[in-house]
Order: sequence, then structure tokens, then C-alpha cells
Amino acid sequence: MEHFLRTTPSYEQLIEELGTIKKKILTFDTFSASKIEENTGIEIEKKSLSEGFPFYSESDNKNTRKEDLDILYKVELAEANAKLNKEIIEKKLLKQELENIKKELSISNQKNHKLTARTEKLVAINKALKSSNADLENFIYSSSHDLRSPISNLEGLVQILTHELGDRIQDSQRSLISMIETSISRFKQTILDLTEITKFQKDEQEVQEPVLFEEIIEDVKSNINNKIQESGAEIETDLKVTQVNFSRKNLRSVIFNLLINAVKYRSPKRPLKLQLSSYKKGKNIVFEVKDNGLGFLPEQKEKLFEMFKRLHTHVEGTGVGLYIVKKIIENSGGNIKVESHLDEGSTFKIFLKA
Amino acid sequence: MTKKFNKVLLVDDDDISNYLTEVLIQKLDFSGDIEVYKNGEEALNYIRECFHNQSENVCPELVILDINMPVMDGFEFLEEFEKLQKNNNRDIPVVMLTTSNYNNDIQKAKKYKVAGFVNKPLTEEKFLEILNHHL
Repeated sequence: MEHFLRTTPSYEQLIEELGTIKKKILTFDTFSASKIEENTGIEIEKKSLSEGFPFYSESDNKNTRKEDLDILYKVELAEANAKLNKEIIEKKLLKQELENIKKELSISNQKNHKLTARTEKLVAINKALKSSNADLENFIYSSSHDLRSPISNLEGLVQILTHELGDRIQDSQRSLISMIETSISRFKQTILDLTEITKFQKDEQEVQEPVLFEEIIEDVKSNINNKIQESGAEIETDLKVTQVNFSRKNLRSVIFNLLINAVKYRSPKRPLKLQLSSYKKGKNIVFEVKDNGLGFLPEQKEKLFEMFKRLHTHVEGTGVGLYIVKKIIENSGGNIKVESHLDEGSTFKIFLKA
Repeated sequence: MTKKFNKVLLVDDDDISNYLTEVLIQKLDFSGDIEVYKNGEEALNYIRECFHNQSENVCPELVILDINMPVMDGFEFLEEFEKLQKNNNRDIPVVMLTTSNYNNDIQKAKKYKVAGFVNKPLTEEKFLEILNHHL
């Protein structure tokens, strides 16, 4: 037999092949199956491949060629079985993976759904806000128009009355008419201020662009040149930062209000000295306006930025300037601070996003 | 010396304002027929008839126009009036007289051929300038 086996090279090869197959089968044993089960939780039909299987052994000399072939068939069968088993496990793994993906998908679907719902809600809220903003704008427009019409009629009527009375006017009538006129002009100014505020709120979404501090300062200075000359102000500028990204119109409004305030609320005891400077501080660009004017008490600080609130009455004003300044700065993501000492002066510091 | 004009159209729904405008015109020594309409549509009908000789309507030499009016406002009037003028080869000046100083309205008025944009109340100087220029 040995001899016979040895003389047939193909049979020899066969034996070798059998050995490899055997090894293959053995490596895919129940141990590996349980390992997969442990890791994946998938139940595998465990069938020991070696069980009841007469393994070919080289020392077994009694085997005939037919038996050998039987073994070969059995081995092939076992191999096919093993393959099948492996495929089943792979399929089960795939199935599990698919399940996992499905689960994840359903979770993300749910999340998506929630997100869509939230987005829809936000869009609706935004729409409602826009429409209520438009309503408000319309309301202010029409109410300011409707208020202005009768007041301008009143103004005209008073003029005609004065004209009609002519020389026959008595002093008491003259003073009454003058009071009516003062009331009318105050009323008109209030309406103007209100429209100013709504205008600025409308312009708020203006485009940001690089704006040169110096350009704006010069523009404002020439605009209020008369008042500056009148005050005899000495203005120093020290611009360490030359430009900032901001709405040009809004920055002009800010600088205009700060300068005009410094001129208006100067001290009668000394010539006005104004120091304008810009510099970097941390993440901010700071624009500073320092004066040696009237100043104010710490407890007056809060009132300073409120709408229609004024600290002084000796000069003209309506109390919207600093309110607008604060709103512009805060809406742009910056903030404004003020330090002041009564009868020494004030320093306004504007912190802008660099 | 009184300066005469044939016809001025005053298109405004505010009676008192119209009264003041008329008084001012007289005060400035202008005299002529002032036709008052309370909305754009009525004024437009008048002008259409005079352009087409459908009546004895005298065509105005000047239109003084308010913005906010019922039925047809000042801008709607201008839209139609410009077409009408073009089709009939006319060039009647329009002065807008309004209490609005809303930037929006001023910008809107610029889209049309408007001879002036004046805020109420009309002052003598302002009005004299307009009347002298257009009548």
C-alpha cells in the first residue's frame, strides 16, 4: 500500500492536499465560532467539524484506496460544509451590520425629521418677525405722517392768524401765539427723532466695509465746523489703528454724535480740549473720545444712553444721540463704556470687533 | 402786480392743507383758477378729458401733488400721468407737496419726472420760487 501510494505522485499530492484541507477545517472549529458569537452576539449553529469524522492519519496503514477516496469525499463534504457555515456566519454578520445601519439610519432619520421641523418652525418665526417688522415700519411711517400733517397745518394756521391780526395783536396774544409755536416745534422735533431712530434701525443691516477713522473724523469735523470754531476747541488725534470694518454711515453717526456732544457739553470755565484716539485692545479696536467738558456724576451714567433722556437743559437737544450710538455699537457686536468726573471731563470708549 | 395763471391743479385730500396753499398763492399775488382734487384718480380724469378735448376743461399749467391720498396716491398718479403726458406730447410740471420726508418717498419721487419735492408746511419763499419758475 505504501509502495502503491508512493508510486502514484498524484495520490501523494492528494494526501498532501488532504492534510491542508484537514488543517483548514480544523482551524475553522467551534472555538472560532464561539469567538464570533461572543463578539457579535450572533448565534452560530455549532457543529464540531471534527466530530464523527475519521481523520486521515498517516500511521493508519489499513486504509485501502477506496477508503481513502471515501475519506476524501468526506473531507470535501466537510470542506463544503465548513464553507457553507462560514458563509452563513458571514451572512449573519452582514445581516447584523445591516440591522445596525438600519437602526442608525432610523435614528438619524428621526433627528433629521426633528431638525426639519425645527427649521420649518424657525423659518415661520422669521417670516412672522419680518412681517411684524414691516408692520411696525409701516405703522411708524403712517403715524409719523399722520401726526405731521395736522401739526404742519397748525403751523400754517398760526402763521395766517398772526398775519391776520397784524398790528392789532395784543401782547397777551403774542405770547400765546409764541407758546403755541414753541409747542409745535417741539412736537415736530419729537416726530423727527422718532423717524431718525426707525431710519437707523432700518439701515442697521448696512454692508460692512473697511472705513478709515480719519476720513470719517474729517467729514464730521467739516460738517460741524461752525460749532467747533465757535467753541474754540482744540482737537488732537492719535490713530494707532487707522481703519475698521463697519458700516460707513453708522460709524459716521457714532462719531458725529460723540463729537457734537463734546462740543455741546463743554465747560464754560476752560477751552475745550478733545482727544480722539484709536488703538487695539485684546480682540477689539477701541475708538476713544476724551474731553475736558462738564462731565457727570456716576449715578447719571445709566440715564445717559436712554432714549429721550438728557442730563443738561442749557443747550438744545432731544436725547436720542447717545441712544442711537449705543444701539449701533451693540447691534454690531461691540460695546460702549464711559468714564466721567463732574467738572473734569468724560471719556467715551467704543469697543469694536477687530 | 398780480401774476395771472389759468389753472393749477391741487391734488391733496387734506382740506386744511389745501386752504393754506390757496391762501398762500393769493398772498404771493398770484391769481387764477385752483382746481382741488382729493385723490389722484379724480385729477387724472380731469387731465385726461382736457387732453382729449372731451370737455371744456382747461389744462393746468402746474400740478401740486400730495403723496398719501385715498383711492389713488401720488405715486400711482405719477405712473399714469407720465404715460398720459407722453401719449399726448405734453409736459406739465408736477411739484410734490407732502409732509413726508421719508427717504423712501424722496427716492421714489426721483424715478418720476418731478419738478420739485417740497415739505409741508409751505413757506412763502419756497412757494414763490416754485410759482415763479413754473407759472
